[in-house]
Parts: sequence; C-alpha cells; structure tokens
Amino acid sequence: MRPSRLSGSADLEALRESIRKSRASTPHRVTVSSGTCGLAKGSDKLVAALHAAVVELKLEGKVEIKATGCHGFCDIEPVVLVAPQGVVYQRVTAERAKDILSETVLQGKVIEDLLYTDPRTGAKARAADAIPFYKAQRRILTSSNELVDPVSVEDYLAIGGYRGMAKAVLQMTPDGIIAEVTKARLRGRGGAGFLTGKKWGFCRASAGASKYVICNADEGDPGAYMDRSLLEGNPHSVIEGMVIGAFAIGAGEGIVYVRNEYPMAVRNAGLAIQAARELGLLGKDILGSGFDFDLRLFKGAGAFVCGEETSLIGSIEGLRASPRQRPPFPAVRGLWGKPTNINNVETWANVPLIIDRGADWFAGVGTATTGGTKIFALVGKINNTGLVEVPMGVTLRHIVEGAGGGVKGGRPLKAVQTGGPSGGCLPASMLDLSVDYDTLSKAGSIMGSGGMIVMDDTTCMVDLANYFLHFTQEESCGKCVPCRLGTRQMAEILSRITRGEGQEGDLSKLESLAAAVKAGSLCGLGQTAPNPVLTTIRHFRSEYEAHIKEKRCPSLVCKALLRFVVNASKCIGCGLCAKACPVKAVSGIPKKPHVVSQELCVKCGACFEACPAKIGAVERSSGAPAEVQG
Amino acid sequence: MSEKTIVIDGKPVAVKDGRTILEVARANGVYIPSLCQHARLAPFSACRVCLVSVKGRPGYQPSCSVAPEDGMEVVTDSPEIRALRRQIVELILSEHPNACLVCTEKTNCDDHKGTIRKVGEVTGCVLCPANKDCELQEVASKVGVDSVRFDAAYRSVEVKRRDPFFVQDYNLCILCGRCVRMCGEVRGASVISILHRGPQAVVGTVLGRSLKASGCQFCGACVDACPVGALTERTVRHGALPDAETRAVCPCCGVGCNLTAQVRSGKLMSTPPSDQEPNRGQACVRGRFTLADLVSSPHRLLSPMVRREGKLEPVSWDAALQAAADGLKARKGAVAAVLSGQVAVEDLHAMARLAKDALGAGTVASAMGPSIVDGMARTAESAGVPLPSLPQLSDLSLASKVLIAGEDAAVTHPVAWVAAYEAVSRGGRLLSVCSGETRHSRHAAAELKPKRGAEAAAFFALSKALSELGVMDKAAKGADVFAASLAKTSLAEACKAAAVCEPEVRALARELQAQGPAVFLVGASLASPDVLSSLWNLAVQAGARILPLAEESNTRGLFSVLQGSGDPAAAARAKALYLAGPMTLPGDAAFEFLVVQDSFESPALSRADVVLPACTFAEAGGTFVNMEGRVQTAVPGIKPAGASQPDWWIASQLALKLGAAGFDHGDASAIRKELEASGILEAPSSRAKAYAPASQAKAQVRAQPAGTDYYRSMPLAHTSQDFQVLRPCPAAGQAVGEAGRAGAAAPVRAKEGSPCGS
Ligand SMILES: Cc1cc2nc3c(=O)[nH]c(=O)nc-3n(C[C@H](O)[C@H](O)[C@H](O)COP(=O)(O)O)c2cc1C
Ligand code: SF4
Ligand code: SF4
Ligand code: SF4
Ligand code: FES
Repeated sequence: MRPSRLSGSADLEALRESIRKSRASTPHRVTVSSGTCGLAKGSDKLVAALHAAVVELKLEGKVEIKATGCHGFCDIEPVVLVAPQGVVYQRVTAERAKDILSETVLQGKVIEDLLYTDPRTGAKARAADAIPFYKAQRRILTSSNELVDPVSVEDYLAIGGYRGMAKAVLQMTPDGIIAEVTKARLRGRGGAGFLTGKKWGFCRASAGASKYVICNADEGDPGAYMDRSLLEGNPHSVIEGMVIGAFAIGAGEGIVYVRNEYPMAVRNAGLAIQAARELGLLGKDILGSGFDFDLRLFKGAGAFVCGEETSLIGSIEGLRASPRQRPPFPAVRGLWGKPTNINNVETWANVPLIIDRGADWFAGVGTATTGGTKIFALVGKINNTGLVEVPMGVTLRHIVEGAGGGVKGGRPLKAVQTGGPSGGCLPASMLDLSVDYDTLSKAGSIMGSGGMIVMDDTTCMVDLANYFLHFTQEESCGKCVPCRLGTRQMAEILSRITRGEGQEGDLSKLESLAAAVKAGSLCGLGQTAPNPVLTTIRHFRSEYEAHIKEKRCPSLVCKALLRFVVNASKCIGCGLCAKACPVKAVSGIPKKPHVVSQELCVKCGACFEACPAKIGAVERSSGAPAEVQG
Repeated sequence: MSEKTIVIDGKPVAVKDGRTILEVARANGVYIPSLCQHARLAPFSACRVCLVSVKGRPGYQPSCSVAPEDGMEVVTDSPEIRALRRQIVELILSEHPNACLVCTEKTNCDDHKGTIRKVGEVTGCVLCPANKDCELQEVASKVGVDSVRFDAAYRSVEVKRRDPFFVQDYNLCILCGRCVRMCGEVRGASVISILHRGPQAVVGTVLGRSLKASGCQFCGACVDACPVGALTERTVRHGALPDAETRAVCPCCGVGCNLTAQVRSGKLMSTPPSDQEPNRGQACVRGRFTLADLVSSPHRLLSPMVRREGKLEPVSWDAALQAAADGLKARKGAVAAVLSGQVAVEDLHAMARLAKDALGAGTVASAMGPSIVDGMARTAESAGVPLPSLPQLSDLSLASKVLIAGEDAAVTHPVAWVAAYEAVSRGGRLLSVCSGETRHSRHAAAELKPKRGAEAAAFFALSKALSELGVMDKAAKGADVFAASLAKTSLAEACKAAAVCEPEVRALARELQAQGPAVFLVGASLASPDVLSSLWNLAVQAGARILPLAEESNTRGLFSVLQGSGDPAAAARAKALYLAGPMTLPGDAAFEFLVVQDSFESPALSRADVVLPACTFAEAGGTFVNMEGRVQTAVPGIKPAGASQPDWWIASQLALKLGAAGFDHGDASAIRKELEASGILEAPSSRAKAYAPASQAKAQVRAQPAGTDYYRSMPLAHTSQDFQVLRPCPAAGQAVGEAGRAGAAAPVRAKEGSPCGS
C-alpha cells in the first residue's frame, strides 16, 4: 500500500492525500497523551482499555484511538481529547475508558467529573481554550504533539509534515534556505541564542567535502524536558528540520545525540528515522532531489557537560566528555575534524515551520530580535506545572500568572529562576520583564534551554544558590581550574553560610570568585555557573546578610539556623512530638506542655510535622531566640 | 604567504614558527605563565594561568591555545590579568599542599629546616620530591602569590607505590593532563586517563588497575611531563638534587637516545632523556629507569683477574695484561676477536686494530652475528648501488605511510615507535608485516601476519599486488627480471606461500600505492638476504625509504669498523679468543685461551683465563652511531667503578704489551682524530648526516632528492629472480594446506600465518 520510496513533491502530496482520505472515513478520534509523564500515570492501561472498549462496543472503524506524545500539562495527565467534540478530559483512568466511548463519543455527552476545574475560579473547562494553561500559550510546535502518534510517519504527513523539506530540497537553494532561516530570526534554543541562519552560513562556508549536522538532545538541565517531549512526541519534525539544515549546509551525515535516560525518545526517534528512510525522506537521493543525507542515533553518556557542543563531539568520537577551547568552532573543525553544525532539538523542530510557512510568519510570532516561540518547563511553587510554549517577548507575568495559574496555595511570589543551573533568579518585582534572550541576560539571568522555577516565600535564596553551585561543581568536567576549583570554593562558602558559619567578607569573596570563574573558565558551564549566586546576591542581598550576620534564615529553610520551640500556651501535652523526635530531644509529661532541648535537637523538624495542625504548638523560628521559655 | 606580525603588549613582533601566542611571546622574551602547556602536546587549555586578552575576542583567551593571526593584538599583562592569574593559581594551590609557598620563612628555610624529604605525606615544598624542580613553584612566585585565601581541599588519596620505577602521589596532582596526553598522544599507549568529574576528577587507569596490568611500558614519559611532584622516579624522589649533569648516549638500543646523566657525589642518580634529537625528550624504560642501577650493579667486574689453579683471582692491571699478552702471543696466527656494538667507535677502533695489527687475528667478528644493518648494506651491494641515505626519525615522523616489518618496534625500539606514532597522529597510515603479536597492531591501518620465516614470500606477494595495481617502474634497472619473476606467480600462490590472506595483501598494497612519503622500519628478524632483497624491491616499487632498526647503540659503528659481520662461529673455533663484550659461547667451542673484556659478569667468565674489567658508557663516554647514522658523542659522567678502564685503553695497553706500535693514545680523542683522518668517521659537525658503511663512504648520498620519485627509480635488488626459489618455509606450506582444507573463511583481523583469518 505504502509506496517504497517517494520521488518528487507530487509523489509526496499524493501519499499525503491518500492518507487524509483514508482517515476521513473515521468520524471519531480519542487521543491519549502518552509521553513519559502520561505513561507514568498509567496512559498505557488507558489506551489498552480504550481499545478493548472499542471492540466491546463494536466501534471498530468508527473511532480511532491515538496515543500521542506529551501535551504539556503534567498536572492533569493523562489527558484525553475527544474529537470532533473537542472535549478535554483530565486525569483519566482506565476504568473510565468505556464511559468516554459510550457517553462522549457515541452520545456527545460531556462527563462532568473528568473536566478540568480552574483552581482559582472553580470553573469547569470543556475545551482546551477554556483552560488557562493552554489559553495563555501559542503552541506552534507543541500542538503537533496532540495530533501525531510519534511512530507513525503517516500521522506526520497528514498534518503537512515533510512539506517544508520537499520545498527546501526540490525548490530552494542552500543559500536561499539560509537566508530564509536568518530572516525568520530563529535563534538557537539550546541556551546561547545564536542566530541559526548565521551559524549555518559559517558551516556552509567552511571548506571540506564531508560535513556533519548534529541534533543536541542531551538536555542535561535538571527539571527541563521540552527536548524530550519534542523528540519523543514528534521525532519527524526534528528529522525534517535536520534534512533541511543538512541540505543548506552541505552535510551528508547527521547524528541525533540523545541522552540514554530518555528511552522513549531513543525508541521513537529510531523508529522515525527508519520510517523516513523507507519512504526516501532520508538516505540516498532524498525525494529524488539528488541530495544524499542519512541520520543515526547516538546515545549519550548522561553528564550535564555532554550537552556542551565540543564535549558532545568528543563523546561521539569516543573521548572523555570534556569541552575544548573554541575557536576552532565546530563549524570549522567539529566531529572527526570536519565542519559540523550543532543545533538543539527545539531549534531543529522550528525549521520546517519556517520553510513551510515562511520567514515572515515565523518572525512575526516573536520579537524584533527573535522569531518564534519558546517552550519553558514551568516547575516549582506554581499551580500548573508543565511545558509552556509562548511567543518570544511575552512577560514573565504572562507565563507565571497566565499559563502557570499563579503561585501554589496563593502564597506570595518571591522569585523566578530561569535558565537552569546556568541561569539566574529574578525577583517578583521583575515580573513584567519581557522574556527574550537579550532582556533576560541584561537582568543577569539567561533564557537557557527553558527551565523556569517559580519560588514563593518559603524558598531560601541562599539555599537555592547553594543547591545550584553544588550541582555545577559536581557536574564540572574537572578540566579547567576556575570551574573545577572555583565552583567548589563557592559551594563551600555557600554551604558554610547556610550552616550559619558565614563570615564577614564572604560576600565579596563570592563575588570575586564568581568573576574569576566567569572570566577564566573554558566552557559555558564554568562561564555561567556563578549566575545563580550573582543574581541572588544582587536581588536578595539582605537574605545573605541575615544568614551571615544574624545567623538567621528568613525563609525558615536552612536547617542549621532553625529552632524548634514548643509554645507552652498552645501545647496540650499529647506527646506526639516527643514520640516523633528521633533523638529524644523533646521531653514532658502527658497533658503538660513539652519542651525541646536545643542542645539535643538535630533540627530534623519531626516534632513540627508531628504536632497536629490545628494545635500548631511546635513553632519554627530562625535567628536570635524569641523568648526564653520553659 | 608573507610573514605574519602580531602585536604583543603594544610591540609588533614577527611570527616565525610559533604555533601559539604563548610560543611567540616566549620567543620574544615575554613571560606568560603556563602549566598545562607542553611543547610536545596539543593545546589543552585547562590550567588557565596563561590567559591574555586578544582584541576582538570575548573575555580572556588561553594564549597556549590561540594561533597567531596576522595583525592580532594581544595584551599579556594588565592589573586585571594579573589579578585573574593570581586567583587561578590560588585556586590551584587550594588543592595542592602549599604551606611552604606562602610561608614567611621561605627565603631562609634551609637554615631552619631539620626535616628530610622521606615523608609519607607531602604538606609543603620542602618535603616534596619536586622541590626546586616544580613549575607550580615557579608560576606561583612569578604570579606573585603570597597567600591562599581559600579553604584547603586536600585530596587525601593513597600514595600509589605498587608499580615499579615511579611513585604516583595524586595529592599533588594539578590535573594539567600532561601525563595523560603524553601517554596517549606521544607514546600511543593510553594507559592513563582522567577519570570522574568535578571534585572527584583524578588521573588513573581503567578500573583502577596497576599500571603494569594496564599495559604501561614504564617509558617514564609521564614522569618527565609532570610539572609538579605527583609523578616522581622512585630511586631519586627522596634524594638531593644532582650536582652535575652530562650528556650520555643510551647503550640499550639502536636509537641511541640522548640522556642527561645526573650525578651527585660521583654517583649516577638518574638518566632522564634530553630534549635533543633523536629522541626529543623521550626514552624508554631501559634508558630512563635502569641505567643508574646497571652502572652500580653488584655484578660489575671491578678488578682484573687471572685464572690461577682453576680460580679467577684479582691481580694488578699489569699482571693481567701480561698474562693476556702471553697467552695470546703463544697462539699467534690462531687468534680470533669478537667485538660488540655496545661500546663507542673509539673503543671498537682500538680493539679492531689490536686484533689485526697486534694479534694477527684471523677472524674479527661481531658478537651478535649478522645484523640488519649489515644485511641492508649487502642488499644494496647486490642491487649495485651504494646504500641510499637513511631516513631520520624526524623524516619518519612526517611520513604518510610507515610500514613496520619484522619487529615489535614499540618494545624493541620504543623511541623509533614514538616517531612512527607521531606520523600516525598526523594522519599517516601505519602498516605492519610482523609475525606474532605486536603493540603497534591496534594502530595499524593494514596488517599482515605471515608465518614466521615466510616474510620474503609476504613481501613478494605485496610486490605482486602492487604490480597488479600498476605500480612498477618498468624503466628501473632490474625491473624486467623482477617483473618476469612476478609474472610467473599468481597473487593467490604468493599469498599461500606466505600464509597470508589475499584481501589483506591487497588492502595493504592499496595503502602503499597511496601518495606520500613512506618509510619502512625493518627489524632484526628480517636480516636474511632473501627477505631483505624482496623487501628492498617492495620499497623501490613503493618509493619507500628503509630504516633498519639497528640492534645496539653502536651497531652501525661496529660494522663500519669491521666492514662486515665476520663469522662468530669461526671465531669460536680459534685457539685463542679475545672476547670484548657479551656473547654466548657455543658449548663446543674448543679454544685453549680466553680473554674476556667486559663490564659485567657473564657465563663466559667460567671459561676465561684472563678478565679485563671495562668501564660502562657512563664512565667512558665516546662516539656512537645510531640507527639513523647519526654520530653522537657522549661525555664521561662519573669516575670508573673499581679498577675498570675504558675499552680503548685496555686494548691499547694490551697492544703495547704485545709490542705493537702506534698504540700510545693519551685519550679517546686521539683515537677519534685517527678515525676522522681515516674517513671512517666524519667530523663532529656532521651529527645529523647519513652514515653509510665505510665501503660506500665515498659515495655519500647526501644530495639525493628526498622525494618518493627518487626512491622509485632505484634499481631493484638482485633477488633470487624467481619466486619459486624463495623457499617458503615448510610450516607455511602446511598452514596453507590446512587452511585450504578448512575452506576459505571471510577475512577478519590478520592472524599469524592463517590466511583469511581462519
Ligand atoms: C554545560 C553546557 C551544557 C549544555 N547542554 C546543552 C543541552 O543539553 N542541550 C542543548 O541543546 N544545548 C546545550 N548546550 C549548548 C550547546 O553547547 C550548543 O550551544 C547548542 O547545542 C547549540 O544549539 P543551538 O544553536 O540550537 O542552541 C550546553 C552548553 C553548555 C555550556
Ligand atoms: S568550565 Fe567546567 S565544565 Fe567547562 S571545561 Fe572547565 S571544568 Fe570543564
Ligand atoms: S610510563 Fe609511559 S606508558 Fe606508562 S603511563 Fe607513563 S607514559 Fe604511559
Ligand atoms: S600527575 Fe602530573 S602531569 Fe599528570 S595531570 Fe597530575 S600534575 Fe599533570
Ligand atoms: S597553559 Fe594555557 S591553559 Fe594551561
């Protein structure tokens, strides 16, 4: 049925048409988000139950059950979309499969208890555009995740896939493509935000008959998973982008470097490559254009630093994953010494859209300096966690309050951390900052690969900086001195401060170390590692000072600085706290107020947790003891 | 292209041959600190103490890693740069014991300290084996670090002492990666690597195995590359610094590495390689770690001895020489002499003259019998040409094809291997035709493993395959005969005879066909005329230069003095034998009188009538001709042990005792002049010049063009003309038979004598 290899756009369009036609006869579709997070919440069982229900209800041929990649809204997984009604169901279990088919599909009835409820308004949403999380987004990339089964090339073709590629390799010149991508103002989504068209131009201009393109799917930022979601949810879009890029650059071989901890991405990308090859969308003489290009997967070793481009190249070559000094840039001397162009997954996935819909459309989505959207992994103390795709240039507020639905539990927002371990913290006062590469870096943070952590008043900024510095010092490849030893000294100082052993002068020492590490380090890891420290000192200096001078953690996070005290006037003497304390620091006789011995207390907080919430007699404080008691 | 100019600190300087800004700055007297940089290694950009600012580039750039570009403006010094460097050095010191560096008493420490260096844990420089020989000390003082503001982060790892020759104390390591890169980039061994990351990063072996179990050759390259005291030679790590240094030539193989003999209180302490040609800072375990022990070995011969009542007894020199002279004189006309290639040309000359002029020796032979050096000279003779100029190791390192034949060169001639590996790391192709396992095998682009003894057939097969590729200069002298003999055989037959696999032969031939200079490194196992002539013809066909791996430090010197190898078997049949150097005597040797002149005890002593103790290389010095024909002079570094004397002196004194004239040399330099006058040796200025055996000395081939074409037009050697006469070894035939019965298997990795990997 399937033609073996396609040649020319007529072939491609004919195939697309036949796929669409054959689909038109199936009136209903039930889609289940089955990415890694959906799967964790049992989407596989749900899909199986739906299939079983189709048979049971004799709906074969009338309803299509589709398991897709991640739809982005992690909190409500697994999500089910029912078409053509356009109903969205959340947190659907396998038990409800039959209900969905019998009620919504067959009778068009909405199942109320499966609908999403806005926690702020209590309103129930029937369709996606009524859900604030989706409403605040512009999903030019991620929306395809809702439409395609990642391992079905037909699905991708049905939504217009490979049309951009066909146009590129059959109708455009390499220079024309580069000009188009440049005009679209596409900038690298891997962190640095370099203009993609310009980078391609460098690599194209490099002398050499054999060149490589690489897709960087290492995604080592803790908490970031947009690349995973794209690669596992819509691998063909990445492949299509890479073919276009390879054609523009003149590369004959490509590699998708994917971290091994992403088994589903590895599997889906592998299957997609195979399917594309079978259709002549990869391999020799792509679509009969005469252009040869093939792709293979490389499973990464998993260290954060492997994502750095020179280190990634070394890792493919079988060397220790350690960055090397640039220049020479990979565009001049990359993999196996050949000119190489590396782009991030999200960068590649944008390319087909640019070619298909035109640079002007793409540029129009973003700002004057950056075209398109950016996907953020919104996590932390936020109501809606998940992947949020917004046009470049929206405000932080739009993301946090719009898509994110505000801070969890209605607590006050303290700061937003962007850019992962290399990024910085922006205080709540900067919520109206526009989110784009230049504005963020001016504010001392970075866009990075799109990690975004929302923090409320229970987050200690010193503790946070300490966390990130420990991360970077552990992940430093250890090659260059400033990064290996500088981050270590910084982490030491930060630990000390959180332990209440901060000294006068620690802040200036941190600042001068930060400057040396930034200026002296070899690669981006070291060059950006001090950002979390610098920005927190800049915006939350008083918190540091409280730790250092008053030995006080204002957010009541740094354990060593905490005191647990029983408020005698509230204590009913139930003894739960004493039972919970692992070191027997709480004493007291039943029905009489208990006492925490500050000498014995190890500040584990077990008593605090144990005291019944409605009594709340165990109190947490930091700094100079309030009142001497008992 | 015209010469580049860069501006360093406002001053324009011409870039001559500096590969990096750092090198250019240094060449122009501008100091930039550096730690991870090493002249032999690719830039690593890790220590960051060499940071400078380069106009138009962001931030600071490591000067060790930036190639100079015309018009580039570099600032190497500014308050910011100084502060940054100081902070970086301080960070390094936060992980490195530094008490002494920042000690206020450091200037007059020697007056106070009562400690010795023999401590388990190094906490400061005065306790460190690298004290005063440490690049970190130097950088810290140049950068001006007088305090370390950071918390110490001592690694507290166990000092590794389980391997021989050197100690690894990674508590001192600054992770410059020089050892790791030396082992991988230069030695091609890759025994050690940087393991783990972040604070746990450390140098080590895979799975923490011992160096020995990880394939370490104990070449010592890592030790000499280490800028601090992390890797130190065991025997000297606790000793004081040397008080004298002289140039020595390693006696252990034909490379003749230049070593620095480090001496303290008259005792040879250590022999690190010197930076000169031919070895350029490299050596091997023998030269690097065993010589000091060798020189002070308890098995040294320290006194002249004469056999009395069946026992060797110490006597005076005069008595010993007299006894030797008497015994030899009594058998005049039936005396033979055996000389070794381990001593200097001066010694050899004196001994050879003793043998001919004073002893009338009928046979003067080389102790080791036929040599590859001699064999090559004969092959050239059979081709009717003087021996073509020898390629130098520096040529080898630039070759685009290196064929190693008949030797595990990385073991027998490790420094020649280093040159070959340099070619490989520059993109050259390593080819190998060796029976048996070799260390270089894993780097080989194509490889044959012929049955031992069937190498001639293997080269013939390669010639056949090359000619099938159309590589054969029909105009070359002898080409018709050779072509005719090739035509008589099919490639398949030739492969069978060598017990090699046809596709592998073709693959190797295709490699040889490729453009670019080629060098054949040929080992001693191929010294027989049959093998050498087929190898010669292959070399002519491929336009390759041949570099024989001379066996001993002065093999070339020996053969030019002897003009041939003589016949050691005949020597053993003489009535009296003057044996100078180690040789295994045949059990049936029927001599009546044996004089042994040597430095060490040997089995020959059991039959010796007179023993004359000779100095070692370190005590005697002298002139050596290495495998490249390089004439090198070593200087005596220490006084002779016991009563031992230089070989030339012993020979001259013996000749005088025998009443011969012309032996009153005051010192070795007089002999050297004699040699120069006779044309056997050229004046010292010709160090790097080709040195061919004396019979062809007149036909010096210095003016030869070095290109492939010249070698392509060499005449072919007069082989036995016919392949059939090449006598493939019977074992090979058998192997072929067996393989034939088993049926042809798919070609895999070459296995010795097993066609097609079967
Ligand atoms: C420590 C470090 C980690 C990085 N990790 C990633 C990563 O996981 N994914 C990625 O795409 N880029 C990563 N980068 C950026 C890459 O080096 C490179 O700039 C990027 O892949 C280029 O693609 P782009 O131009 O499309 O952004 C990292 C950089 C550094 C310094
Ligand atoms: S900055 Fe850090 S990660 Fe980058 S090379 Fe240096 S040590 Fe390695
Ligand atoms: S001694 Fe030589 S082979 Fe052994 S680790 Fe050092 S450099 Fe490598
Ligand atoms: S052992 Fe020496 S040479 Fe090796 S990395 Fe450490 S300091 Fe450098
Ligand atoms: S010498 Fe340049 S970075 Fe080490």
